[in-house]
Amino acid sequence: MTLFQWTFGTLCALVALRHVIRIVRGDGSRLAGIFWGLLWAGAAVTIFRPGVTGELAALFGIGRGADLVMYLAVLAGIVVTRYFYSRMRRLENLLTEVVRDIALKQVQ
Amino acid sequence: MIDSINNSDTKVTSDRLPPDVFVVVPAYNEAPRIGPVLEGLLEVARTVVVVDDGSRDNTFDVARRYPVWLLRHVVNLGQGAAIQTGITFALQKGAQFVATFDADGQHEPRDLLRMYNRLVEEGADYALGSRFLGRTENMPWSRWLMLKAAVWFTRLMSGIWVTDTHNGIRMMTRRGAERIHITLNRMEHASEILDQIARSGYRYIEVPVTIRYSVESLAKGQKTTAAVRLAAKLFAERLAQ
Repeated sequence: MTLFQWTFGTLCALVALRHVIRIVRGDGSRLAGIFWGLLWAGAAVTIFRPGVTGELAALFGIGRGADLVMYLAVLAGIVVTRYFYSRMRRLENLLTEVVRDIALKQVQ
Repeated sequence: MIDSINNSDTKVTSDRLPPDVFVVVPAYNEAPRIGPVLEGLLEVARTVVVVDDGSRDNTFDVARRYPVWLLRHVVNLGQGAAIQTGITFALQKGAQFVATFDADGQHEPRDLLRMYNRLVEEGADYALGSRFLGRTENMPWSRWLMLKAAVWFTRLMSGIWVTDTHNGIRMMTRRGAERIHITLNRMEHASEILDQIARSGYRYIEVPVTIRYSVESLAKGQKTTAAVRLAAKLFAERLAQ
């Protein structure tokens, strides 16, 4: 085991454990807890056993594990960007409605 | 001034528009220019709606001196939002026609008369001003190039075949105005309006208009970088739909 694996692998495992504890205690959203718990646990496993990404990549017909991680990261980036763009637009529309309503009520 | 106007279904034979033609003027930081613009506009239009889009100067106080409807956004939202506020207000007040007219003094008020007459004569729902069919004064070549690029971009994105896509002077019937719901608050609204016109299936015409560029209007107008941002936002909006 390298120093990187000990440090970051342990850190990821602890974060995953924290999410598991939060789910058990009933703190916050259960779905979000499961999602983040799995994500951090996955990161910990990947750090402790780097070969696992290669095995997974082979399942999908991708040559290298690093490529699989990159494809997943790009996909996640697109999904997250779209989500936040939609949220930003919804907020912008709400603000516009409020400002417009005030303007229409205070017409001179 | 003597007017000989019968009603909104007939052509204007005088030099003023009927009172049920509402002219919406979005204004942001236009204090030095809005006075002369309103003076010229009120010689042609009887019902003017100024929407002060959260100006930091005294645009609101200057506009207040004129016989116009005056609305104020408490924060700056953008020209698209101001136009939609004006359209909503005009429709609430029973407008039969709604026009938009920029506050920076680059439009010729008498073009509104031509637009109105063409709408009535030809039974269309939208009259879109075109500087490329009409006349421009002091237009820099960089602006010409940018506007031409915008025309082709819009043709590609909206499929609407017009000669001028970002012209602030336009007029629509009540039926046409009811189909316009601007959600893109800033300068992208011009493309959004064309999109909605294309989708409405209603008839539109282009009317030659005059645009006068001045140092102030060029300073306030869209820069090339802003045009790139605008195109990027329209593209992102399409992807998010």
